[in-house]
This record gives sequence, C-alpha cells and structure tokens, in this order.
Amino acid sequence: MIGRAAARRRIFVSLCSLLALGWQGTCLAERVITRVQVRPGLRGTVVAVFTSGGEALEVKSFALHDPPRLVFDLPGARLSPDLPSRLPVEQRGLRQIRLGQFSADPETARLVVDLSEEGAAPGSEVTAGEEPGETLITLEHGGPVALRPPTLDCVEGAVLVRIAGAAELARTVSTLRDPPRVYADLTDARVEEVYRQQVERGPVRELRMAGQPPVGQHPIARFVVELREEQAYTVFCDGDDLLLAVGPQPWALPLPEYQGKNRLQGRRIVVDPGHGGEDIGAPAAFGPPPQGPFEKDIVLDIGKRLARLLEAEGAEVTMTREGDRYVSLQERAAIANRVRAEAFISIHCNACDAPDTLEGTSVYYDHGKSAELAGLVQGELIAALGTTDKGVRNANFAVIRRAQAPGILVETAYINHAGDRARLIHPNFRERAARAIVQGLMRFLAEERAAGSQGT
Amino acid sequence: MKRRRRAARGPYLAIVVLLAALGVVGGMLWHIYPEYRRLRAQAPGPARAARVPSSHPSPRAVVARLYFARVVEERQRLVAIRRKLPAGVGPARAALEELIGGELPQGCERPLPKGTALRGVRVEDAVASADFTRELVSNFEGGSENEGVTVYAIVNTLTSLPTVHRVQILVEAQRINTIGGHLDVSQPLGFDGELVVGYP
Repeated sequence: MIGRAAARRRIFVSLCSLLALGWQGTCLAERVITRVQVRPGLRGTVVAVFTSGGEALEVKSFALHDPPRLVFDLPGARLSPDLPSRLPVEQRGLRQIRLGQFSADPETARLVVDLSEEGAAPGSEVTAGEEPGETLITLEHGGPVALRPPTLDCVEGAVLVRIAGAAELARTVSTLRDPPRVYADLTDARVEEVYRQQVERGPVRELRMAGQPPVGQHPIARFVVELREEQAYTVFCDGDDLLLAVGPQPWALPLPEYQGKNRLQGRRIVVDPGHGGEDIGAPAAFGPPPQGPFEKDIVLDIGKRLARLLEAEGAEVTMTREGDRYVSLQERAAIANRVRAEAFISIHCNACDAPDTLEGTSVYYDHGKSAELAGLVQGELIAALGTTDKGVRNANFAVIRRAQAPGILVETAYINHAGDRARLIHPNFRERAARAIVQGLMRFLAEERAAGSQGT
Repeated sequence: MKRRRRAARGPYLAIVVLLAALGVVGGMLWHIYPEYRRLRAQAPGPARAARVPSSHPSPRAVVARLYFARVVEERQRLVAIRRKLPAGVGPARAALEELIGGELPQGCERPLPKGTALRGVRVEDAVASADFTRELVSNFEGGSENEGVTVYAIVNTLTSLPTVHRVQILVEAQRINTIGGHLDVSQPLGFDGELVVGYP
C-alpha cells in the first residue's frame, strides 16, 4: 500500500508541476524536474532525472576543485520545490549528490556530485532513459577496487575470512582439491600486492591473495583459503565487507544485521511462499498422519524474511500469502500480473518418494529472461548455503508459467532428507536463503537495467 | 522381316508399361496406407466422435512406451520402456495398469503415489481422460520434480499411443487443479520430454 501512496504523491507532484508550467506561461519552454532517483548500475551509480514527459534533457558537465566535485548543469530545467537538496550515494569515491537551482533566468538546474578526494573524478555518461522525460547520468566506477589483505576471525568454531570493501563485487566462489581449498574470484578488483600468510588456525592452513588473468576488460582478484581437510563454507556480506566462513555447519553461523541500501527503490517484486492452508506441501515424513515440519510453514518464514529484506532495499513487495492460507496456483500468478511485477519469486522445499536419498538446492524457470534470474539466484544460494548444487532447470510449473514477469521457483532444500531438514529448520539458514535470493535478484535487475539503458 | 518384328513388339511393350504403372500405384498405396490408417485413427471430428469405450478390446497387440521413475544423477527422471500391451482391454487402460501394477523394470520406481488405482480411462477426440482414485493426491509425498514425474509418467505414457494426443487427469471423476501444488492439471496436457532420460 506504500506503492499506492507513492503513486498518489507522484500524481500530485505531476499535477502541481503541470499547474506550475501553466502559470509560468507558454512563452517559457523550461521543463520541471519532478523526481531524481539514485540507483546502482552495472557500470556505476545511475542518477535518473525525470521531467513530466518530453525528450531527455541537455546536460553540460565539468569538474570543480576545493572541495573536489563534478557539476552537471541542466539548462532549460527547473527543480520542483519539493525535491530534496541532498541525495545519498553508495559508491566508492562519491560522497553525496546535491541539487540546486543554479540560475532562474535563464532557468538552469544544477546537480553536484561531491567527491571524497581530489583527482578521483569518475567518468560520466549521459543517456536517455526508458520513460519519456527520463535522463540518465551514469557515474562510472573509478576503475577496479583495490583490495587489502583479508583479516581472520574465529566465531563458534568457524574461521571467518573478511575481505574489506568487496561486498558489491561480482564473484565466483568454489572449491579446489589437493590440497583442499576454497577460493573467491572477485571481478573488477585488483590486489595491491601478492599476499601469502601461514595461518594454522582451526581448519585453515594458509591465506593467499593474487591477481588473476582479466576477463575481458575486468581485472580479477583471487582469494584462496587453503585448508587442512575439506570443509564446508558459506559466503555472506557485512555492510561493505565480504565474509567467507569455513568450518562445520557454517550455514548456522549468526549473521550481521542486514543493511539495506535502497538498491531496489520502487521495484515491484512478488514473493510467493508455496502451498498453505489445507495444502501442507511436502512433510518431513509421510504419514498417516504426515509428520512436520511442513513445507508450507518453512517457506512462509523464508518468504517473510525475503519480503522484509526487499523492503529494506526500497522495493514494493507483494506477498501471495502472509499467513497459513490456501491460495490457488492461478491466483498466485494473477496477483503477480495484477501488480505488474518486475520479478516473481516462488519459494518451496523439495521432497522425493524415498526419504534421505536426494538433497540439495535448485532453481526452476519457465520463460524468457527468467533463465538469467535463475542462474544468478542459484549461484548466490549455493555460495551462501553450501547445499548440493542441483542446478538450474526448466519446468512448466503453473505459477512461473502464468506470471508474465521474469519468475523463478526456488527449491531451497529437501525437507525429507535429514541433513537438509536440519538446515531448513535453522533460522540462520532460512535468513541466508532469503539474503542469497535478494543478492541474485539485485544483480539480475541491475544487469537488466544496464542493458536497457545501453540500448537507448 | 523388319515389319513383322515391330508388329510383335507392340503388345509386349504395352504389358510392360501396364505392369510398371501398377507397380508405381501399388508402391504408393503401400506407403500411404499406414499413414492413412494412422490419420484416420487420430482424426477428430464427427467421423471419430463416437466414444471408444475403455473396455473396447484391442484388436491386436499394441506396443506402448511406459514411463517409469528413476533417479539419475541425483535427479528424479522418467525412463521410457517399450512394452507390448496385453490384449483384451483397451490400450489406454492396459498401459496405465502396466504403469501401476505391471512388471517394474530394474532400477525403476512406480511413478504414481502408493495405493493409487485407475478408475477408468476413455479416449475421445484424441484426448484421454484418465480417472484415478483419491490416493493420487492424498498419497502424493510432495516435491516439484516428484510431481513432474507423476504427471508426465501418466501423460507421456498415454500419448505414446497412436490414438492419444493429450491427457486430462481426473480424480474420482472430477477435474482437479493440481496434484502437489506445482503443476496445473486442470486442462489436458501434451507430451513433455523435459524429465525423460535421453530425450534431446
């Protein structure tokens, strides 16, 4: 319902600006900036400037010093009086964005990007957005992130490897054998110096850090945790830092508080906890009577966690059910189509006929771009949960077939497998599953938007 | 001399041409006739509107592909087994009975939930309506791939028969929305090879 309020406010603002335009008279051709949105993009922060319709604005940019800043002048444009004067920005090297009316006659609006240090001005690009009257200013990353050697911590029998400032980087985490080791390849990152440290702490023998051959234009930094024997691992974020935990049952480790950064501002996401009410989904053990826990309860909890995280990122979330209630497959998809969802995420637990035979995590998709979303979410899930990777699959399950938005059906783990069930009933595992889905979804939406704005 | 020889060749040539023409026509019929029979058997419309009762005896042995469940590479999949159906019952019923109670191939599992029985099956306009007892839903143990295995074991087995294109699953003579909460079975379904081992 936040969405409706925002929409009403938006309509009010547009009406006001229309009135203001009319009042200004027809001889002046200046445009009113009704909204400015800051969001992350693949190549850097994107500042979207909205006027009520028309073509993209003309933009003149230059750098100023003392303090260091980038200036974007928008001639012929006037800021709506209810716009904030400052906007937060989350990108290394950028401090904040300020908005102001540089001159009234002729009308020129000004957008200033304050930089954290001299000589580190990011490259910038101005493009037209997808909506009429949308102008996009992309503030490119100031090159690859320079990473410092990791630090070590011990928590509840696990060793935590902390890589500062690496949370936002695209990553591949996997294992190698002989000797057993876990590695993380971080994209658009470089290491200041090759690092090698004997550790001999818990299961960890050595920590290493080195550059890898770049992939295309993107430098890669590799972190290696060499182990005494094979160990389970989990990957998670703590603010800007990336954490790699190695030890027994790492998925049960406590998680730092989630810090939302409005990275999904205004995006419409539908969360669909599977089953519910008379449909218990899969039970832990088949009856009669069936033994709990039941799939319907576990997926509702994961769904609520997911919704809360998405809201912390600014998304407009709709849940197909918020309680223990039966909702038909048709209705679930209809809800997604009714709110014009930009992504649809159905959450399930898996089961098979023979208990304790199959285990692991898989993500299903049906159509279009859903395959990319499925791949990104599956990658995040496996890194975060350490479950058996059962891969991404195509299937015509009703909810993802009928929902028009890119949609996935996540099979978190097998409820009738003892090992997987121990995970599913642990709140930290469920929270990890929800966070992994958010990570994958954010990457999908950012890549989609970046591809979209490059196309125009 | 020359003239007589030419006169004698006339009827000989006519016979050869006639035989060749017969051969060509016969060959064409030989190729077309099975296709014609197949199309006739499948053709919907008034000619085929008469209901085929489920107990209609099969005139001769029909070979069906039965789809059994098997775990392959940690996934629940379907394997197709060619089997000659017993004569005396309709092929659709015979195929489902084989799936439920016939010989289980080595390494395979029954694809339908325990205790599920077939109430009846009828084929009308190339749509087979297969009616099962309530155990199809009440004994379903959950899981999305598991549901795919159950649904497409039924659908793929029946569509392997030349008379069936699509399959409507019924429970106690009623249409149902879903067996396990993932797949929509409210409408007739066609063959899907996604879960089938070795399907391209």
